Amino acid sequence: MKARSSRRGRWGGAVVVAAALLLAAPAHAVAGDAYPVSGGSLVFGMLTGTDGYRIHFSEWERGHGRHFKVVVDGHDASLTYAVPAGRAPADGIVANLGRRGRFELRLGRLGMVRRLGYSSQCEGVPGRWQRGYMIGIAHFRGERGYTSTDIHVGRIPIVIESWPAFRCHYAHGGGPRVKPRRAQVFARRGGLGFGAVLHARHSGPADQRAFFRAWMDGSAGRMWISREVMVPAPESSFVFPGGPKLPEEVTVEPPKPFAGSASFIRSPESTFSWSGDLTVEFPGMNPVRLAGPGFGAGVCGVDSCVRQEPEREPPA
Amino acid sequence: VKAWGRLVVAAIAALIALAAAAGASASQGAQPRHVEFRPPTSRAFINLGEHGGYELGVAFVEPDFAILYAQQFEEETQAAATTAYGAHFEGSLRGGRIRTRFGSIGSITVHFVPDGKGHAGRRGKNCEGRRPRDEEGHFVGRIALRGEGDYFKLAARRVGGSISRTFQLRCRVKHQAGAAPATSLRGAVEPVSGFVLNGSGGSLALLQAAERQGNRRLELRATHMEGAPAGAEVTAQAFEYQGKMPVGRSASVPASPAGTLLTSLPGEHPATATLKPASPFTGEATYLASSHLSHSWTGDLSVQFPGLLEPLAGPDFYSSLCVVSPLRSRYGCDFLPPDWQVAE
Repeated sequence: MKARSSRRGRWGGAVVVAAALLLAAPAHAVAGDAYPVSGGSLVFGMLTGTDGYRIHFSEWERGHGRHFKVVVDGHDASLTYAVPAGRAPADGIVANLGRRGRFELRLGRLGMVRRLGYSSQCEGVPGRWQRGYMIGIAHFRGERGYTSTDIHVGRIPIVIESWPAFRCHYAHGGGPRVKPRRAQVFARRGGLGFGAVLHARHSGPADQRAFFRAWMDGSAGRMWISREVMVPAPESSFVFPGGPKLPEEVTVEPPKPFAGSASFIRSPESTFSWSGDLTVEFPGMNPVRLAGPGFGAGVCGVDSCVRQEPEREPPA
Repeated sequence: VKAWGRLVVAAIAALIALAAAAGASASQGAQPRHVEFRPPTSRAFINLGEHGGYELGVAFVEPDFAILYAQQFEEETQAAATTAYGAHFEGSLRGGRIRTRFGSIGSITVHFVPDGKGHAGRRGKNCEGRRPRDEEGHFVGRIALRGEGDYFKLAARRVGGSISRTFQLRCRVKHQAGAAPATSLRGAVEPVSGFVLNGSGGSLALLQAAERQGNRRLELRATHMEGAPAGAEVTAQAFEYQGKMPVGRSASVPASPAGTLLTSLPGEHPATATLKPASPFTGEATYLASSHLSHSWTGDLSVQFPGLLEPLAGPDFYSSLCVVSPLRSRYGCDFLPPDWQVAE
């Protein structure tokens, strides 16, 4: 399998800064608040996997240690596999992903070191970035072989970044512009979640006004795995069987990789049930049920929500 | 013992409310800029034990309020029913001599004999002065009480109890508290409504009924809160004067089981509701809106307060039903005015 070259425009400093912001931003921060982002370094590259998937790998070093991450994306799915980074020689990466594979790479640098700028909300001493390449072994195989890559002593283009600690401010007026939302559904059971959003009528074409997402987080040994699928869908996949007087009643029927449908229905007790045969198929896995007993669920309108906790198991 | 503990908690809560009103209070976490003098206070509690299936107790608080409580508590459902009788006492809590008469219920004439098991409490922050002191002991004298219809009967000469005293304190506070509003005996006895125990948001379904019979006022409230499990929180309250004695009664089932309150869905016509709460309530009642202008509230629903069995439905009741969509009415029914009507 050949490695595909990465492009600076797509992988540049903005990626780092955006990621750092996401990682460091306190959940309760409000416009005008400042928060610190710790310094660190990052090496990242991209490989082409089989069956149309892209395999991004990166090694992060921040205040709390080093970790190695593989992100596989394609076919409306994104899967993250993260492990603590192994001990490697200077300018090298060693990561053991167990049954999922192994990365053993040596790093070479190319060209000049450049300045890594921050977005306008952030201030601090600028970081640096540089192109490079890695040589060695990069072996990855997804569950049941949904994708794989196998490189032996190949030359993989990479980007190397480092930055000192800096500070960021929340911009007044909020973050990125978000499509106006008409309704939203969410359901959760442990590390398994489902979300659906129906955007306002004037926002985009009718066949993409609904948006469905499912995720499943968990661990396998020392590896943290996060799976996610996201698909747009027509407005007709998100309906209100209770009509305008009962907007909290919602039925969703998302497209593949989902199957079936689920409904959030109000009872005469004013409790709500989240039921149906809705399932999702994450790459390399059997279909996973997304509705029924054990799920907490809720529905949001424009400015308020209603939620129902799962029924408690009766005491043994 | 648990039921008794709850009665003590209820009595102490009332005493604290009264004591807070009687004395000046300091702001929490205050910077010590002003000096405030807090007057000494005393309160007492008599444990009368269980009689006729009811836990009985009397709380005394300055200036001269005596409140007799009769309470039943169901551990499994957390259901509680309480009747409180209010009276003015003569004598001195500080001296431990008290004489009071609860109208037709009976009278108490006692003096306090400490058993030496006192303990000192904690002063307020930034305060100087003698520490508060609680003394355990016995009230000795004559106690003769009898509930309406003899639901309890008690004659005793020696009962357990305690007296709690605070002493004048000099406190440094950030803001000087103004004079606290005076609390009346009626205010100490009358049930307080509006507390919601279950759920995470506003009420999605709220059924209310109220009636006035002579000087007795009766209220019923059944609510299902957003996020709460199936079932409803049901409370009933009554207040009246028996002669000059205020009598407050309350009954509540904080988590009445599934099937307690069933309603039509928002916007559905006709609007209906059926209420069938657990003990101390019995029977069931139905709300039916035949049109936007008229509805009925009928059934054999009633509540057993200590000493009083009261019907809670019928043609003389004003009633109101609110069933809302939380996405259309953000705060549920709680800030919507009730649609009071006399049942037809």
